[in-house]
Amino acid sequence: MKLIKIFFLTCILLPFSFILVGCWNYRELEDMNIVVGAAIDKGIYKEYMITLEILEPSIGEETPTTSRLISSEGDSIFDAVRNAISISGQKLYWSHNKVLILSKEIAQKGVIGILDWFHRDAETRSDVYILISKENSAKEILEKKEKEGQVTSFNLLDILVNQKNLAKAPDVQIWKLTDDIINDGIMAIAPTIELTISDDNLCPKVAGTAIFKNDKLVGFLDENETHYLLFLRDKIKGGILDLNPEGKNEPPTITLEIFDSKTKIQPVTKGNEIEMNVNINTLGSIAAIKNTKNYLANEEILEKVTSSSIKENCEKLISRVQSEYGTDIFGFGAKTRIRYPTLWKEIGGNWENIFQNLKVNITVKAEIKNSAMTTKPLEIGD
Amino acid sequence: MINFLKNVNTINGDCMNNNLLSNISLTTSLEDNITTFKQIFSDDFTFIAREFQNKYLPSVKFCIFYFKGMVDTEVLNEHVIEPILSENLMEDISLLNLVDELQNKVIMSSDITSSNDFQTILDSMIYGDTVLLVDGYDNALLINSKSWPSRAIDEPESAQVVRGPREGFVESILTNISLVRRRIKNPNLKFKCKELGVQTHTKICIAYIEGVADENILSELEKRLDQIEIDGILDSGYIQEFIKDAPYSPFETVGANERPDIVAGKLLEGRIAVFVDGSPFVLTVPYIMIEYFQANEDYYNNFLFASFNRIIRAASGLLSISIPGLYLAIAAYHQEMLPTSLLISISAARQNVPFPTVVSIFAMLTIFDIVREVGTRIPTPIGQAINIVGALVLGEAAADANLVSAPVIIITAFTGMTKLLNPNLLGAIIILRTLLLFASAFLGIYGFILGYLAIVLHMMSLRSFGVPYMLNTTRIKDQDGKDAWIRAPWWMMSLRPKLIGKKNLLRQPSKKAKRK
Repeated sequence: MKLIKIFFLTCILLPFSFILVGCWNYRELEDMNIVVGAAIDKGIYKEYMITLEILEPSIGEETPTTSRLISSEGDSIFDAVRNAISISGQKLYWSHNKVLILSKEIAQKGVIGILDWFHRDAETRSDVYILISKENSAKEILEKKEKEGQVTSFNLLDILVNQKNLAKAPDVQIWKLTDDIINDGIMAIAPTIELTISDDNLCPKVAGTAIFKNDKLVGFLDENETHYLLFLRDKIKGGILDLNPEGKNEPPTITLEIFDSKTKIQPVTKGNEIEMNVNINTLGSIAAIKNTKNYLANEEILEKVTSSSIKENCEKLISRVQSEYGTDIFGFGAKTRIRYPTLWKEIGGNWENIFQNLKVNITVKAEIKNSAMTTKPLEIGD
Repeated sequence: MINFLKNVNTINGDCMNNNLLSNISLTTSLEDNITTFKQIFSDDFTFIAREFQNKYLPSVKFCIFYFKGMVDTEVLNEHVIEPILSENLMEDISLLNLVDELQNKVIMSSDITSSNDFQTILDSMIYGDTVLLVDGYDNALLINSKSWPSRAIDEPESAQVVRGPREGFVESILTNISLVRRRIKNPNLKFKCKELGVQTHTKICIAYIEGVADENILSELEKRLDQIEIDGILDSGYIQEFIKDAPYSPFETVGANERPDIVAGKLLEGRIAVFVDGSPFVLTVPYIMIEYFQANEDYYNNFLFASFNRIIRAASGLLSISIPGLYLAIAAYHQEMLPTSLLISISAARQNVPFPTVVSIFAMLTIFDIVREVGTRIPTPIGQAINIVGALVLGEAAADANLVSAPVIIITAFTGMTKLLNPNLLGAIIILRTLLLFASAFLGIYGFILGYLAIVLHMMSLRSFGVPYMLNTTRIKDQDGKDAWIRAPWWMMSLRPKLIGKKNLLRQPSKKAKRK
């Protein structure tokens, strides 16, 4: 009897010890401000100004889920985030944050302080997509919507996720950016975002690459260059290539769809010199032909044109990066470090100079698999 | 204090009763015997004492005792009274040892015994026999004339089948035994009978197949049954709780079911059945966890379909225990684990809802159980109305009035539905579900997992009559695993369950069974 009494008392008291002390992490969903996107600019009064896109959840067809924006300033990112409470009223919930947009100014000053908070805080995730704004501020990206009632961050997320079919911007998440910054022999990149006019409406567009030197932004690559940067970084899963089999100065006549591409970078030492052998294996098919010529009859020529086009463009990109920025965004240094660790210890500190004069031998093997649903070009009848 | 008084009363009552009966014995005087019987059954109008005499034998008086409603009066009239009153009586018998002569030559009954033990006479009379006393003799004839109204054999409502026999047990123990006997026509099928209940003298019967059932389990069962001391047994549920291995556990270690084909199947596996008079539910031991998910139909249907059904049953049992707790843990602690679109819809549904998630889940589950209990208890015609009201109140109105969020209603409905798929597990599900719900409310997923561990540990520690409760649930390769989460085709199951039918393992003796 006494035991039963003790048992029941424990049963009653134990829950109270959890509930009444007020120290538990139970929180209801509706009490949270769900952050889905963040833009960081230079503040007017303080160091950072953070603009957050916050969800206004709603179900039903008549009232779709929308979002609102709030801005706050602070001397550190965390300061700015906490100051947002005095505007939004509720605590911010970061676990579903999708994108982080940085302004040019902030990126040029260095991003390590921002990345640190994203890695350190328990609620933030490291799989947030990074974007560098090419506009005056990062904030204005979030303000523009492709269509009314849309959540901009979700739209940006879709654009980034589907980049694999386009390959005109890298998809970089916070962990990858940090990884590239802290690792030896490779410099970080991030996709850029700008505003463009689509159907008389100013809306965000993701294309191109921002190049970092250590944690600071130093320059940009356009979308075409980005395409070949992705070839060299072995990140191609799709995308298209324009070919001009008629000659280099003619306009391109064939559009090729890339199915798969593998790139192998192998550092080799020749005496004291170090060289890079880059092997690119590309598989594609013909997606569109602008004239009625039957290129399929001579597949080999087509493959040759493809590989020389890729090779040329890659070489052009490498030499531009080497001469203009001198930052090893291709990861040649990292490959050397893995392959020749002892050698790396000697030359690692001087890699920036070595990279600028590095000889890169590119060999491309292109394979045209098929010509999609037709075997012959359309012929104009009499 | 009240308890103490009660004890004294029952002790005194029993003593008086016993003393009274043990002092009494039959005398040779019919008058005295009649007086004794009438005294014992003084205020019982169903007790009948009928005196009669053969007109050709006026010197001898006869008297029969029986209970109205317990005997077949036609049998009494035509096969007991009529032969004794007939004018040919004296031609058939001699007056020497009249009782034996009556027993052997006159009374037309298949079941007739002679006794002078007063206790035996009373017991069999109460059970529906007729007692015949002859003046001048101190032993009585006990004539089987049992007949009482009994329900017809029909399909049990608790377990309907699409494919399979439709017979179900009834309240009469003899009918029930015959239903099983008809399925196992084998002299090795033994029925050991006992009486339990100081006041009710309820007949119970242990059934097993000799040479298949394990003697250790049998003797353990008999030992436990002998230890039962209670005034009355009205259903097998009493015994089920008395002989249970873990008295405080929500899990049953003694099975109960209403179908003779299931009981026959379990007997063939080496299990032991306990029939209880007055109850259509027959107990089987040992009972292990996997039996919750086994249905008789599994063994009659295509094995693939049966296996699928069994997995569905097990999965829904698991789901109905865990869904409320899991939902709560994720929605209140680990929002980062939800996909964003689901987070939006849950968050949107929860706008303007006044109660915390844990309160609304608990309230809705309780309301659902109220509706379920109402549906079970009330007459069917009203039940329809209640169901509609319940569905409207629970579903539409509560969500429209923003009292609970839509996901909670979905959770409740899903839990309720999956719960009903395993009716035997219902009690355990309700308790464990609540436990996991509160564990999750306190500690999130961490609490949920702790609660689950506790349940699994508890189940792993259980034993049913020496057989591990979670037997066969952790292996699928062995012979035993062929009838656990899945049901293998019959030609594959050449062995009986290892620990239960170990005395005679070969179910299909000519098959060379490979034992791993």
